[in-house]
Amino acid sequence: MAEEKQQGGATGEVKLEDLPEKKEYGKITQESLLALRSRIGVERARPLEDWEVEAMRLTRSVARRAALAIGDYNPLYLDLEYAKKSPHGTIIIPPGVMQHIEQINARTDGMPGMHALFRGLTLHWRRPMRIGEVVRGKTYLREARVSRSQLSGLSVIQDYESIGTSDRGDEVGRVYTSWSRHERIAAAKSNDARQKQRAQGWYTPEDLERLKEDYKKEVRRGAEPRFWEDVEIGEELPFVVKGPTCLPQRLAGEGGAMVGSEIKIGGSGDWWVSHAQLWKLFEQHPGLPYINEQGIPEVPVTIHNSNERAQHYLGLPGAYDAGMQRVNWTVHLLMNWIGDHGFLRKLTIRFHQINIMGDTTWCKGKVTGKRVEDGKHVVELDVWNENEVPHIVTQATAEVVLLSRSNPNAKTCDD
Amino acid sequence: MSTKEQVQYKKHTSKITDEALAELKNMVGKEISRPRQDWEIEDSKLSVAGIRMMCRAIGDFNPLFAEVEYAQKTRFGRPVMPPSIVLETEQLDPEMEPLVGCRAVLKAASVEWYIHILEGNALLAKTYVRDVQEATASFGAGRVVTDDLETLVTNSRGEKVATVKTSWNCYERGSAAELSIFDGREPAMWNSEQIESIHQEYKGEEARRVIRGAEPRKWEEVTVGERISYILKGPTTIIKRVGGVAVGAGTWYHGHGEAIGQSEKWPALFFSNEHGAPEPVMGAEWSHVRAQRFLHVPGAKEANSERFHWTAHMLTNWQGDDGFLKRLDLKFPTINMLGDITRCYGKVTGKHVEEGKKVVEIEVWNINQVGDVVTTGLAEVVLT
Repeated sequence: MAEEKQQGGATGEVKLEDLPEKKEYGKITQESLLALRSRIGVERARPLEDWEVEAMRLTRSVARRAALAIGDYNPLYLDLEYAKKSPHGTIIIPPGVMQHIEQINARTDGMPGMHALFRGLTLHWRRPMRIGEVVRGKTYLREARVSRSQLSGLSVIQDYESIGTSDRGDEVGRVYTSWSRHERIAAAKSNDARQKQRAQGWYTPEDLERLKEDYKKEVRRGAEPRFWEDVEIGEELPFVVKGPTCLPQRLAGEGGAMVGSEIKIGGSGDWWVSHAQLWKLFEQHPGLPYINEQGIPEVPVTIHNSNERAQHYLGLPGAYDAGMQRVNWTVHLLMNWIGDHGFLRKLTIRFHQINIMGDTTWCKGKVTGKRVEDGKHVVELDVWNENEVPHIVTQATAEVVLLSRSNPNAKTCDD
Repeated sequence: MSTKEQVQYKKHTSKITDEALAELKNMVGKEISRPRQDWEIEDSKLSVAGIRMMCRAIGDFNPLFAEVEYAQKTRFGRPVMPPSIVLETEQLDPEMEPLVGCRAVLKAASVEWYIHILEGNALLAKTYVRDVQEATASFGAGRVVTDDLETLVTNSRGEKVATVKTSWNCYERGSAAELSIFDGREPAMWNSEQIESIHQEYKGEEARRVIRGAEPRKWEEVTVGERISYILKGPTTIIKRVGGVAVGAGTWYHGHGEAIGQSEKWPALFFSNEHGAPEPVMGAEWSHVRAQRFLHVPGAKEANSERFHWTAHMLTNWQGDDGFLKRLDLKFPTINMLGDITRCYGKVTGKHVEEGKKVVEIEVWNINQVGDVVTTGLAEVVLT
C-alpha cells in the first residue's frame, strides 16, 4: 500500500542490474523480478463456473461460521430477528471477512521458493456485506520492488489492490495488502530479534482465572446509538481479548472466516490435498515441499501450525499466525464500540510481529480525531494489539462513521 | 501472564465414571438428533463445492464426484457425493458425551445404502445408542466400554438414504488398556528411495486405469476370484486434517472465551498444553511429539474411519458410474498412525441376484507398510 513505509533499519532501493541474472529457486534474480513485474496492473481473477459463484454466496451459515470462528458473537451476524430490527435490516457478514476477496497475493505470486511475510493491509469499506449476495474480487499487483535493509537483507516488496463487487452491481470495498519476500533462511533470521528470543506464553491457573475475568469485561454497544457529538478525543475503547491461541482454535479461526477460499487461483485451498493429488501437486511444483520428521514431503503451510516445526525450520519460539486473524479481532473491537448504527469505513493494519501459538491478544483502541466530511461524521482511532509479553504486535488506524445528533437519520455507509 | 523456558508437561488422563456409564446406558434406544431450522437445512444442501471438499478430505477425485461437466453427462445429471459421507452423519460423538474425554476407537462400521446422494440433497440423521457393554480389561488396566450406535440417514426430500451401524471401544485416557491399542507400533520413517517408489506407485494408478468411469461394468462379465484394482493412500500428513477440518468452529473447534467456557464445562476434554492453557484433546494428536508428550502413547493415531472412506473409494472406482455401492461392512483390527501408508484391496467372492438386482460380493482388506492387515470386511455392489 502506498502509505506503507519500510521499517527496521536503513533501507534502500536496489537496482535491477545489481541482482544475479538467471532464475534460481528461492533467490531474487533479474529474471524472477522481471517475470513478477510483467504482471503489474494485470487483472487477476479467473472466470468462474456457476457452481463456483454459488459457493461464494453469503448465507446465514457463512455469517454464523465466520462469527463463531472469530469468536465475535455480535447478534448482527447471528440473530435474524435482531438484525431485521437493526439499521441493517438483515444479517451482515463480519466486515473483516472482506479481506478474502483478494484473489492472489505474495504467498503464491512470483518469486518461487521465497518465504512471504504479511506486512499489513488496508480495508476500505463502502457498505456492509449482507446475506444473500455474492461478492467477487479482482486483484491487481500494484508494485514489486527490491529493497535492502540492515535487518533482513535483500527482500522483495509486493503490493496488491483488490476491488470487491457485489452481484447486486455495486462496489462493496477495496483491500490493499503489502508483503515482503525473503530467501528462506534470511527470513527466519530477519524476524525481530526480541521475538526470536522470547519464550512461549505460559499460564498459571491464576493467569487463566484473570483471563476469564477479562473475557467478562467485553462491552458491546449494540442497539443504542453512539453519537458523534458524545465521543471525546483521547477516549479509550473497552478492550476485546483473544486467545490463548491453540491449534483447534487456529483451524477454526483461519478456515471458518474465509469465504470462497477453495476456488481462488493459487489460493491456499490448492495446497489442501492429500494422497494422489498431493503427489501431483509436487510434480507441478517440485520445489514446494519440505521433508518432514518422518521423511515425507509435505507442503510448507503446515510448518506454521506446529510449535516443533516452527522451532526446527524457522528458528521461531513456536507456531505462528501471520495476521489475518488479527484483522478480524480488531474489527470485533471496533464493531463492539460503534454499535449497530455506526459504520466501520477504513482500517489500516501493520503487523509488527507475528502471533506465536499460545499468545493472548488484547485489542485496544483510542479516539484520536473527529471530523465532518461530505456530511458524514467521522471518528478517527488508533488501534493496537498487545500480547502477554507484553509486546505491541499490531498497530492500526481506523475511521468510523457515527450518527450525529444534528442529523440522526443520515446514513453512515455509502449505499 | 508470563513466559517460561522450562515447562513441565502434564500427562492428560480421563476416567469413565459410574455416573457417565449409567447415563450412556440410559440413552439406549432414545433418539439423538439436533433439531435444525429450515434455513440451516437449506444451507446444508450439498453444493458442488461441498462435494469437492469431501473429495479433497478423502483424496478421491473420481470425476463423477468432482467434475461438474463430466457428472452432468451421466445419468445423474449432476455431481454425486462419495457415499461414505454417511459415516460422518452420526449425531453422537462418543468422545464427547456422555463419556467425556475418553478415547473412542472405531472397531467396526457397517453401512447399507438405498439410494445415491446427489448434489442438492441435504442429509438428515437420527442416531440411537443400541447397546452398551463394559468389556473386561485386566485389573488396573482401566475401564473399557463398548458402545454400539445406529444412525438412520434420510435426505431433505424424506427419502431413506442409508443405515449406519458403528461399534466403538471407549478407553480411559492414560490407561494401560488405551496404550494396548497401539500394539507396539511406532511412527513410520521413510527414506527418499521409498518416497520415490511410492510416487511411482501413485503414477501407476493412472496406467492401471483404476477408475472405471463411464464404461459400464457388466455383472455377467465379473468372475468370482477376480481382483479389484487396488489403490494406495498416504503416507498421511497433517495437511489432510488441515484441509478436512478447516471449515470453521464446530464441536471440537473453538477459541477465545468460548473455549474457556467449554474447558470449565468439560474439563476432561481438555489437556493442559505447552502454554499451560487448556486445549481440546484432539489437538494432542496433531503430531507424534504432542501425542508422546501429553498422552504418553507412541504417536499420533489416525481415525479408523479414514479407512472406511478409502475402501469405499476403491469400490466406487471399480464399479463405474453405473454401479451402486449397496453395503460395506468393515472391521478395524488395529490402528493407523500418522505417516503410514495403506493399500486397499478387494476380491470378488460371489455373485447373486436379489429382488431383481445383480449383486457382486467382494471381500475387502487394507494392509499397511509393515504388512499388518489393518482392515477386513465385505462389500456388496450392484451392477447393471
